[in-house]
Amino acid sequence: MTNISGTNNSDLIAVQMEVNGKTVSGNVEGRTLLVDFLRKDANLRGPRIGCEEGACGACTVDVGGQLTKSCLRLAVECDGATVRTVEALAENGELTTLQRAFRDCHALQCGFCTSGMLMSAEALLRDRGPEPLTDKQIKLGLGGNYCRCTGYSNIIRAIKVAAGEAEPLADAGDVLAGESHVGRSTSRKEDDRLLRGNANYVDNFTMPGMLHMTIVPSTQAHARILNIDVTQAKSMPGVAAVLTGADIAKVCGPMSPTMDAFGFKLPRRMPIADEKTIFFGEPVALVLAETPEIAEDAAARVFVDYDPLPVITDPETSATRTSDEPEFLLYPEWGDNLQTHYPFTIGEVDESFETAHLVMDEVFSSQRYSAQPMETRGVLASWDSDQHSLIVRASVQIPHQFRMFISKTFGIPETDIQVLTGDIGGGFGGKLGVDAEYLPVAATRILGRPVKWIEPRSSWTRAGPHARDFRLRTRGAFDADGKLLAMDVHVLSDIGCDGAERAGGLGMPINGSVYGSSIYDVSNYRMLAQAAVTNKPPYGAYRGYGKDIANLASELLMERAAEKLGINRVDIRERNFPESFPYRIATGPTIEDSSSRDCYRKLVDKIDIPSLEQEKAVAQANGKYIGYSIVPYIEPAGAAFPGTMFQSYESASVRVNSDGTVRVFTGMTSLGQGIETVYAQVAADLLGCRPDQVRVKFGDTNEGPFGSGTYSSRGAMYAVGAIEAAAAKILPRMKLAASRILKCDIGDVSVENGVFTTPSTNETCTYEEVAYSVYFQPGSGIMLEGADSSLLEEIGTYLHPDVSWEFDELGRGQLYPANPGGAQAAKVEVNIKTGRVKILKLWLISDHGTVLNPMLLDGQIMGSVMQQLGGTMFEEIAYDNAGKPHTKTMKDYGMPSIWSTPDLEIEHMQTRSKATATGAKGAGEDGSIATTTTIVLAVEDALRPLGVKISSSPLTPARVLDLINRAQGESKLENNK
Amino acid sequence: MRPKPITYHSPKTVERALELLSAHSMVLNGGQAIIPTLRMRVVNPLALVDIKGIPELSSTVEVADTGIRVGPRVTIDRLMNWPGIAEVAPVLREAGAALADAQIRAQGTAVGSLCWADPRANYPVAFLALKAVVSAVGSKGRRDIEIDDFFAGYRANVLQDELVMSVTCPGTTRLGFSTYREFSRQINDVCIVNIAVSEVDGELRVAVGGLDKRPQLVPSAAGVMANLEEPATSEAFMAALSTRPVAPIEDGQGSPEFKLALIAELLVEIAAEYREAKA
Repeated sequence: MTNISGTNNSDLIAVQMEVNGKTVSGNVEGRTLLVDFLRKDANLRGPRIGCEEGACGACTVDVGGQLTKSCLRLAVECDGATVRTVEALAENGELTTLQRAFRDCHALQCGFCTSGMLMSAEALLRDRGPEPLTDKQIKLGLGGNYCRCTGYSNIIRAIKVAAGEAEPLADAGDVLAGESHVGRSTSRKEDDRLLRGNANYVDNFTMPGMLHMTIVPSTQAHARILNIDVTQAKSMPGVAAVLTGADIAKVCGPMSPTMDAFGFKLPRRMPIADEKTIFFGEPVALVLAETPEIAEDAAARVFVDYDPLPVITDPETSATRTSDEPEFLLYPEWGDNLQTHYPFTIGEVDESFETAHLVMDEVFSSQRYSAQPMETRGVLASWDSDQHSLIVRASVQIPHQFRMFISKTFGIPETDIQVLTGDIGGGFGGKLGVDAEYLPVAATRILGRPVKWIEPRSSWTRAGPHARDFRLRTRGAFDADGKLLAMDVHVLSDIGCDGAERAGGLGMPINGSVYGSSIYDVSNYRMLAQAAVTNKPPYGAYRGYGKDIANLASELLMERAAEKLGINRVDIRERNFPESFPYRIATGPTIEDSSSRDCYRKLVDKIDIPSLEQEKAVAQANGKYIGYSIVPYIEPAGAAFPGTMFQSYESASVRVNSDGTVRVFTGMTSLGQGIETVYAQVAADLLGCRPDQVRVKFGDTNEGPFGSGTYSSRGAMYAVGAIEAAAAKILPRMKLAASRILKCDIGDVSVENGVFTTPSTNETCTYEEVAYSVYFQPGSGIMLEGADSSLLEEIGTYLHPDVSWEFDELGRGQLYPANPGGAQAAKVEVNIKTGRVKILKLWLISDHGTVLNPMLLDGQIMGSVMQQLGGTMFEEIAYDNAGKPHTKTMKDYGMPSIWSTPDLEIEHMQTRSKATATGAKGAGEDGSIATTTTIVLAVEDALRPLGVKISSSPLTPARVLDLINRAQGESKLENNK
Repeated sequence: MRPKPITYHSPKTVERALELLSAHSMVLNGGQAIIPTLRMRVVNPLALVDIKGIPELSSTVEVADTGIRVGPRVTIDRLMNWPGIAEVAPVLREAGAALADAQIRAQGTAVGSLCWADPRANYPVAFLALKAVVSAVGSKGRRDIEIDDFFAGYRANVLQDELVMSVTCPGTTRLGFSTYREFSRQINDVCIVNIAVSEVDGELRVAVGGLDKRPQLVPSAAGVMANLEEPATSEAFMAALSTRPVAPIEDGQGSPEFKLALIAELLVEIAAEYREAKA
């Protein structure tokens, strides 16, 4: 490369900055980003990289008094500057008012964006005028910081609290005698480290001798690989190796499937393309180098010759291909392109449709989009052949199962593998599948050096797990009164190259059709779930997991049949609710109680339909289009499918330590749900101690029993159930020892907040005293004599009693043990000149049984609503006919920003679950289920005078305007007739 | 991803900067548009010439009767909040407020946004409507470029290894109505279309972005707006817009027809404000 003048492009330049009050100097390249200098040379963890174009703001710092995204500045530009990062916020170790406000408003979940969010918020508060802060000012100040978890409303609130203009959400004050810790809005234990920028995401770790891995992506969606020329790349200074499929195959077999059940066909592929590529962005080679920059430079010098094959991009065409056209089959050995073809029929479906008063036949298709957590995928793997030790630090939701998959894929004994997941920067199902995660493992196995891979955002977008992208056809047979007599639901998903082996998305079309009747009473039911392969990235799990499709299937029918029959929209639903509960739906699962219906009725009262109708009429008279909708939903929770990573068990180990502290290890992972806090609340109630005595640990496969991980809103049932099981064994031992200290009968011992008492003498002793007496003074032999065990440690397991894998003759079982219910409503305004949909108001009432921590539950609901709002309105990964994605960056993608925060009102009912000791059902996906339905139906309601029907998302202005114009064109035609 | 290897220069004088500018180098000002493209390796210059250390390049705004002069180092934040700007040329404030986010407004410059010349960027349309004059210096000396002649295509301008010394908008006493509007999926997102309108020396100028490879002046639309006799309708604007040259960009944000419809609607809104201002 020729140089013009001045410094040579690869020369190192000495720079020095004052970072958080300390002088930091280092030698950087001209291209080194400030964020990399801060992370590497200044050894900071707070500023983080979440994207590649300065969209996400996770890297926000202050340079010379000005807010800046440190990924949009070169280090050399900032030579001599004063830099402040999140690490400098806390004063004398104390969290600032702003940080405390974030904690006490639950304004963070996974915490990945929080460092940048705090810096922007601090600047906003510093520069504000004397007037009260408006929402608009806050949005102007934080518009450059994306958060995928919270839905932003709690962030807005936290800033107002910090400004002294609002009250925090967390319960303050002590728990009084007789009160439980469960049910309180306790601030999160995990927040302290997250607010200081000190979390342990994968990218925070380095190892001596570590290599950085970059993936060379396929630039052809479907092609035979003729040749890979790595000579140039290999010879570049700093490059340790360039590996191709042939190299990887020496240590790695086909990927161990995440789902091997229900006759799903499996591609049995390696995590890297070997003979042919099957999607644009699939790994074709790996570069291992001393720095990420060098790895990327070398990746550009890997040259691949392709022989293009026919590209399959349309799932509908794909679904029709047969072995007569092997060139159009992605995996010719399958004989077709369907990874699953899952039919089910019960009752007299055809007869019902033939004799029905009204037949509705509705379609809806969703675009392809994705979980897009703020932290992309990442792995740091190191193999030590002398020690027979493979240590893998990874951002995955299922550490124990990942250990098993690695063992099977590489033939390494499971004993030799340790998987560590620290803080995970969001998952939402997107980190359940594993494919590229195997590649750093393969590389360390081959090279014997630690290998780190941090996925660039563009790679997540083009090769990470995709979701939704379904075509729904739902037919309903109604009588003249609006009673649903039969349903026929067909869901076809574009699952890309796979939805079961490397990614667990295949359950989505199946759920979409199994639960297509939602909570309605219909006994004649036919469904067909199909998953068609195309030359696109894999189809992964995403929050909602097909329950969104199911909700559309029934609600589109109800809403549109009501209109056709001239029946009130609420009445038609009332006419179709089951007469009694528990109610077994046609496809087999039993809905345990009436909570969905009850939430719906409560919400009908709440939203005040007469006043909404009046508002609509007034708007119409003024040429404005306002509409609303209200629907019930169910959230099947705690998925348990035999032969898959979705299992019906969970484990916990609980130990009372000699100092009276309690250690709870859970098989769940922490993606921002707040497990360290909620499980401590639960354990405190169960063991009679204080939550601050309890430490919840997770994410280390060497530490606790096998756990099945975080997915499907299961924690409140499974993880809590396992903790209950362990605690139930330990508490009697603690009481026995306490009774010996208190010299009373064990039956007379009571315990609360860490203190044992006996009413007979009013003597007390502490948790610490009791524990120490068992461990040491005098010891278990005396204190626990006669007990079932001499230890204060137990492994608890939980198997949900309401899962049934005994399928009847029709194949009906119960794979989701709980069905929390809810109802959601939306009010929107549509501008018929621009197609803009403005979401004026959203309401949601849900019933998750006993609420363990109301503030955290609301956080899950707000976040899921916002995610699905994004998917309904903007988010998209668009493809051309050659299977090449148009969508490259986070901005292209349409990540919802703080400007799209909806006005959302949440309420709860609490119908206790009979299956769990706390009475809690699962939670975490509410907003993902009915947000699309409510927005779509509200837009149709607004546009009812024009007769617009919506059959696809996202509801971009272009699409909505097109529908309006077409409807108006048709009505003009009508008038001219 | 990270940028390709690059030579970094930080000249202290304009003269030295001009020596360093060539077909293989790019000016680094606020960097908020360039760095992302370097990181994605879409644009790959061999060298960057960082002009932040050149004292001759002003980071101040002059608001005088003779005109508004914006120095090349004036950040968007600074321009938006410069005393008098909101009163004299609201379009410059509104274009800034709608631009990206607080971090980018604090680092990015208005002149940089202009020179980047993305057809959807905020300051190209704003300066186009304001009939700005770009004062540039190169090895052959200084020249003033009328804004109408400044844009050369998609993200391209007519500068040839030159540095912008200032952007001047005509006399503030002669500036009348001015405003900026944009339409995007979300507020402050990459916009689908944008419009700046400004009355300069009694001439109403309507500049639109997002439609073509470069921001466009649409005199016919200005004519519709200026005609206070008849209410300006979207149909009238659609007709006016149909006369403009078309080189549509494909950015996945909608068809040219859709964008035209949006522009017509925004123009109707602006026209109503204009009538009110004139009443």
